[in-house]
Amino acid sequence: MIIKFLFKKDSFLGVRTLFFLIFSVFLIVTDLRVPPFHRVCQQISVAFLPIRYVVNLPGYILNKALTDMMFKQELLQQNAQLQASLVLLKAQLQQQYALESENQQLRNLLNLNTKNQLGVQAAQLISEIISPFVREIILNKGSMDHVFEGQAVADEWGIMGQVIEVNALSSQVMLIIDSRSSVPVQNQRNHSRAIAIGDPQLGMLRLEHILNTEDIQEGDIFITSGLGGRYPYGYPVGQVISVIRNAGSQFSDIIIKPSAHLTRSRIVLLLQKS
Amino acid sequence: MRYFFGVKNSWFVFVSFLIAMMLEIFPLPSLLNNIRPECVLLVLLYWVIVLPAVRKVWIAFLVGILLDFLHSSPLGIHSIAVIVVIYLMMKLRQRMQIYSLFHQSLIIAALIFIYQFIIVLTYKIFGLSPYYYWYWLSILSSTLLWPWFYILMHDIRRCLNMYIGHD
Repeated sequence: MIIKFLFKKDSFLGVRTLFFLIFSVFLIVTDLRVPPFHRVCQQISVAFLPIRYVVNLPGYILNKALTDMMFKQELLQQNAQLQASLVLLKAQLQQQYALESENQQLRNLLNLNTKNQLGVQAAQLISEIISPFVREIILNKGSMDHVFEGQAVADEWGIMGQVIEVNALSSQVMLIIDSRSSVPVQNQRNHSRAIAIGDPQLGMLRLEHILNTEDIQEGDIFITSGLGGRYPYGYPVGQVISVIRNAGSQFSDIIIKPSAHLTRSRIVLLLQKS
Repeated sequence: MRYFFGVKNSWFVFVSFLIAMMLEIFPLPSLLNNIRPECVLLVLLYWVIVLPAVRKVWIAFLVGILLDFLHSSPLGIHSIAVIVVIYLMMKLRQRMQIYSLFHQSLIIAALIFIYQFIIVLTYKIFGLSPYYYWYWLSILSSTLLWPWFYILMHDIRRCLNMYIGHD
């Protein structure tokens, strides 16, 4: 009855506008507060995947053209180099196995819990979402490939971010430089812990609430501390490039450059829990 | 004969939206990203000026939801801004049709400012993200784009014979 009354006549523009405005506010609140609704929206966003693929196509083709076209001689050379580094890495890995079993024995002696063994799954970047407030990437693996919300994502140089939305065919990853992202980190040198918050304008991370008296120097490498359960322990996050100790305030201003190649990596690794 | 939006070749309306959506999320270096014009909003504003069938609030609402999916923001943030701006355009529509291109650009600048303002206000109210000065640069690029875009769309419409009342 009300709908017929509202929508039959033409002169109810103001009323209809108000109705849709209130409905939009209701939608925002629902989307933010009601997880099932948000999950349904994530699934619906599969419909927009074709646009994202198409829009990323020029960049992808250009990238492929630049990197895949080389002379046969270069290709053979690159192949030989990759074989050599593969042999080196496998040798290093054998050393790792010995260290790991020794570590496990020591942990058993001390009655500590076993460390989680992590597998990795490779995924490819479909497109990026760079808005004023958002730095995210979209991967081509979704819930059909057992990607779950909160999964950590890294590339070969360090942590890139965590998965925030999953639909059947793709997943959305929030990079560590997104303003909403905070990574629990640990100084590799003196094991002091902190939280690194993303700064999308600089493309770097900031450490929050570090007193002037803390021992942090430029060049310190920060790794994930594993606290909070999202990011596993031990993955490189970044290196400190600037420590500014203000005389006027109690806290220092510390900027960390991420180790991961956030803007250049096309193949990323999804870290799986055991 | 009754056509879909009251004009012939109304598929062009959808094609123009599709192209605008692609331009909206086309990957650009993060510096250039700030001067990206509000393509989808400009296209919708144009069709609201020109076609009577598009002057419906639910169409503005749907375009807002579309923008929310594209930018992966909570559903409704862009809707609010689009509905308010389209409402104002519906009131100004008859005058826009007879103003010079320069005058139109000024009004478009004001409308895009309102759009940006509502979006950043809504983001802030829901505590979602910080704000920085380069954000407003897209007003400039949208305004500069408008005259060229308006003439381009008029020319395409003339080629496709998309006029009201012509059969």
